[in-house]
Amino acid sequence: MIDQTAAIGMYFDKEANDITDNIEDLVFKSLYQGIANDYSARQKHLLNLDDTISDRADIKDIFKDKLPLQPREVHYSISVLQEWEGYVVSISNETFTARLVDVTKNCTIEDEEADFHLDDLEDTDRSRICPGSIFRWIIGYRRSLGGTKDRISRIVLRNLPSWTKKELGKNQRDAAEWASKLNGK
Amino acid sequence: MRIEPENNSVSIVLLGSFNAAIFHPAWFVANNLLSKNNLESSEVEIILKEIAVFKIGDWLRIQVVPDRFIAETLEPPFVRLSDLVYKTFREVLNHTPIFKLGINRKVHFTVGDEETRNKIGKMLAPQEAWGEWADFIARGKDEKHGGMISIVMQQVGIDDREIGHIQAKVQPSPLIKNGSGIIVEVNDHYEIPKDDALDGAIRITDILSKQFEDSIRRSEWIIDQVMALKEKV
Repeated sequence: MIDQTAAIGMYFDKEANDITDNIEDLVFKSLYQGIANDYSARQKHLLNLDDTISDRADIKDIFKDKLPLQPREVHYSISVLQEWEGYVVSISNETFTARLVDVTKNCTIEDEEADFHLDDLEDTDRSRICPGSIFRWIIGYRRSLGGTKDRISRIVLRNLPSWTKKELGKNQRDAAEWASKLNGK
Repeated sequence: MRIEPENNSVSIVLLGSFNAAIFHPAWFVANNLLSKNNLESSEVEIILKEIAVFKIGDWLRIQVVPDRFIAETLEPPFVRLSDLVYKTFREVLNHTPIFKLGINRKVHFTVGDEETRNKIGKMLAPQEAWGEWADFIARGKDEKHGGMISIVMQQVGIDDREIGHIQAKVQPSPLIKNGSGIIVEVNDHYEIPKDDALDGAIRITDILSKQFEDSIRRSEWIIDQVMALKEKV
């Protein structure tokens, strides 16, 4: 396996519409170039344009350092050791209690209960937590490029869509059907 | 995964018809898709009629052009990304025609040294298969030599979807500097017939909601198969 520097462009031989993988930045490079070309053409006829452009900035300055041709470099990466989904059962002044499902083990039944400090939540999540809130809790390692390793714990409230009237109606019908089967009717 | 990744990402790619100009961080906040704190830390790269790109720290990068919406994250829990895309196209933009979905998992990891990486490259793409040219590939000049630069494998006929495939691509990693890095990128691709997409985003968002976590789990299992090659060379 060797490093390469010249693979850009080969993707355009394929029909771009069919691809849902991470070639996005190559598509954007093409788009940026298209915009740059259009902009350059407009600059040539600036005096005839009825727009509000007052500065004849070079397109290179406008898009300076914005072409994301390299993978996004981060100074750390997070490896998840374990992940749970939980729902909030009760909240006190400083803590909340939740029932948990182990997502790492692909469990579907909540079999653990734990208390968490409200301080562990991000400010936004703290203001919207309530009984019934669903959240994800991960523990893992945060590794820096220098090799430093820290244990992390992070709680994130899920932001799911509200139930629609149609969905609530269907759920009620389903529940009634199951209840009727359980009662042997 | 048996090797801790050096760089970790998940992206969701939707193909359909999008009005790029509306995808501004403030629009996401106004529709309760992102928080006000997110708005303060957002960084708009460009927003024009036909292209929108912005990011919020390492947790979110959105890129939109008229036929493509891409949301990417580098930070777990990855389900947060799925929630954002699901809510955006289920609750707010549910009439958007979308007919293809990609759930992509990408990992950069190191196998320790360049020699091991080269051996893995040869296991995945044996040079002998190239006949007499193989000698020239291996020979090179000075310390440089040729070899595999990209290989893609595809699985089709998958039970959980009407149309679609899974592709895994293996390449050397440009992020890991000592030549020991490998990228494995898995594209889990789902499609619905284009006519069905005229009803909006319901079917694709259903697939996203139902498949996302299984997809990530399966992709990590595929990536782990490649990581296992380190123990076999």
